[in-house]
Amino acid sequence: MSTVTHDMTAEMYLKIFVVLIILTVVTFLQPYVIPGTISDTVVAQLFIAVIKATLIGSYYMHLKYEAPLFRYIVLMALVVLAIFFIITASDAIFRNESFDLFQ
Amino acid sequence: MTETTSPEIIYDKEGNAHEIVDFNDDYTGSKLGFWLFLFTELMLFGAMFLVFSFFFYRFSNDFVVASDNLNLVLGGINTIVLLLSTYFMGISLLSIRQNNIEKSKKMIYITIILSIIFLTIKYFEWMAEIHHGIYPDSEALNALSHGEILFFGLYFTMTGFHGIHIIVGIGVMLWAVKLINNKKITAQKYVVLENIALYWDIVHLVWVFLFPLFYMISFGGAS
Repeated sequence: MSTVTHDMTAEMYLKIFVVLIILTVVTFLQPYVIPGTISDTVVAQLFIAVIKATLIGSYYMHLKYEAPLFRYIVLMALVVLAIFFIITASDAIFRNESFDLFQ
Repeated sequence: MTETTSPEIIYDKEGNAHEIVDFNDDYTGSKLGFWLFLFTELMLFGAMFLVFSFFFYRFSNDFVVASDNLNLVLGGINTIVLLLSTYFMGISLLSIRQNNIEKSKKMIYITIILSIIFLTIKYFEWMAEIHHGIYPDSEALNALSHGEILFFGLYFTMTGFHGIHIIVGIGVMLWAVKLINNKKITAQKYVVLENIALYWDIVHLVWVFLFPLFYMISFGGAS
């Protein structure tokens, strides 16, 4: 068996599964426990989603156990995606303002 | 391909000779290649999430109103079904590494059954919307506000694309079972199954963001 995989055990899969289930329940309960405005709800929901995504990426997709190369290229892909979001956000927020860069 | 008997030589900038060593089961290379494919998936769904975010920002209230029409219970059950299926997929990969062939196959079958349950629930969800007259370009939908039309357009497109990925996932899982039966996936050579597990995880990841953005925002109406 390869040396990079020795940390992957059934116990790890079960532990992460339990944490993900708990986070899913938190997703369902969040609006009842802390009701808020639309932006509060979206921020809280996405915050939980990002934690879940990080856990899935690190453990279920084994990025935690991979060579650094894998982590860097995943990071780069996310940075590229983030750039798209930042540029589009600046359009969405500042559209038709006096200092609109897209005009 | 025939095996090469004479060594191939490559020369570096200083003119030193190096022998090229090649082989046909590059574990890291296979995984790296598959990750590159996953990045195209990231960009495919990322672009759709980008469109969603843009219009959600512009038509927040319409999106909240439209989101209230979705069935939170069915969406919630599907979230848990998909989470369970990724767990079993992971255990399948773990079992093949431990040379537990039968268990690995059993786990793949469980994952396939869960995927079919997911698709069945999705079918009833879509059918409920369609019976309400809400489907792309329907009269009932076109009579709604701009934001609501956009919400349902994105809902059908994104869950539809996600559904196609689930169907493809079932296909590659059946292929994995065939490869295991043919001894093409073994305890020593399992990178195909590992890549299928990675694919299944990204399908789950998309749902992790789809569910809150489409179903849970209906609670934002309290403002």
